[in-house]
Amino acid sequence: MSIPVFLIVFVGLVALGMAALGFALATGHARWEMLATRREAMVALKLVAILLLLLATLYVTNTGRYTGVDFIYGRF
Amino acid sequence: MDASEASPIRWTRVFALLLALFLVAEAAGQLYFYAWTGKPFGSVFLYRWSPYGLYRNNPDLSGNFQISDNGFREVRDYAKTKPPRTFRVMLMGGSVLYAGHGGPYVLREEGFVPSSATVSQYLAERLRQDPAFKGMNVEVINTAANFYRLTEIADAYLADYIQWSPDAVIVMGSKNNFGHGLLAGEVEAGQTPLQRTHPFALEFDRLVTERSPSSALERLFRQAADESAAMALLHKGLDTAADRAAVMSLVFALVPPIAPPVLKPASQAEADRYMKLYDSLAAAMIGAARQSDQEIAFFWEYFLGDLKGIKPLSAQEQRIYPHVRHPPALTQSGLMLRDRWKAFLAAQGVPAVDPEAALRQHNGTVFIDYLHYTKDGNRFMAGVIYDQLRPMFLRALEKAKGQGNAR
Repeated sequence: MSIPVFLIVFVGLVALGMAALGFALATGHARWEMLATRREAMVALKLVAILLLLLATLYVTNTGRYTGVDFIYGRF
Repeated sequence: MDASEASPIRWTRVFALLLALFLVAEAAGQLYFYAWTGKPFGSVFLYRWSPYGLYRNNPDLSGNFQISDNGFREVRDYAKTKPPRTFRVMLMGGSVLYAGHGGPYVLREEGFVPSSATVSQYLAERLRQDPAFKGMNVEVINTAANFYRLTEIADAYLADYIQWSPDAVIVMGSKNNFGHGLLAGEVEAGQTPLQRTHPFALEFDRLVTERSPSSALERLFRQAADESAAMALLHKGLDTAADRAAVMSLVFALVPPIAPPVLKPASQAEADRYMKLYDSLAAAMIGAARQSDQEIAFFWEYFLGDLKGIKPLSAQEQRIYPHVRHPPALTQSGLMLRDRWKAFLAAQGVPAVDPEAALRQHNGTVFIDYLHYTKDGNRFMAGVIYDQLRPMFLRALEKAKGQGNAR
């Protein structure tokens, strides 16, 4: 099966963006601080951690989740 | 003090960072799914809700199993309206027909059984080789959904599959109705497979019926996991973590292990009461099939753990057997139910496929675990079905020709 155009374009754009950023940082055209300060990066990471915590809590609190058949038949 | 700590937080930058993180994770996720399945990411959820039979296979599944657009465990799509000159068989059942497997004692070297190697594929092959079916387009459709009991099968058949105009219907999934056999008191307590609420019905209630904030949040997360490969991997990761945590909590439980109960098989009266439940559902399917000029047959599934002294076990099966063998009380109860099942079907004039005689003569590997079949096991069982049901298939063929379907 040929690789879908969407996948090539999407992954390509992300890779190009990362490469351009890496190049700018490596050559001194950009500094991390211009993009975001360490503090802003920490805030972003904290938000990710909160999201993960929220989702993990969801699994623990949804008591009906453990149906007893997951082992063999997979999750619904 | 760092100068950045004095400056105000630029929230647009924070969200831009989050977006960049997500895009990188998404690109990695998309590549991961493509490398794993050879197809673009679809979904990690095995099932979808169905008004007819509670749930069906998810056609968008990205994983170890190929599901057709119809939601069947098949490598191609089928038209609901049967094409001319077509002989159509529909197989209905649970995980045995699906060709799944359940651990921990599994023949890992066999891998996952592809959709091109289930019973339906091999049965189609046998029918196409039969000179009686020359010139006919033979379709054998595997509609299996894991953990389908007769309750779900009957629902799906009466409300949906009957309209697919199969010439013959074969009902599998007996283990989901009879479990490991009946124990004393289980019927009274409502703890038998057909009396209990299907476990996925609990999921349905939580995800669909319930209107709580946690339910809404979970729906939102599932929706996100259906749209994004990164979120799908996160969902799968949390599922796995939750499952492992549940197992760990059992392993490290502070309560001492409870001694296994003394197993006492159900009495004849209890078995009679239970069989009434099964017979009612089976009779509904048989009646509907007859009204619709469709032939119908049922298939009995054996546990590997009941086959010592019956099937000559292969070296592979002997590796699993010690871990999955049943206590004699369970084997005895299972065989009693099988005999009652056969008696009921005989009284109805409906063929019952019992692979016991064929298993006695076969020393190859059939079982991939305690119940399900390997690719070769599927081929073997397809042969058993073909051999035992050929008269029924020929009857159905004659009917199909009589209806002008062979023109």
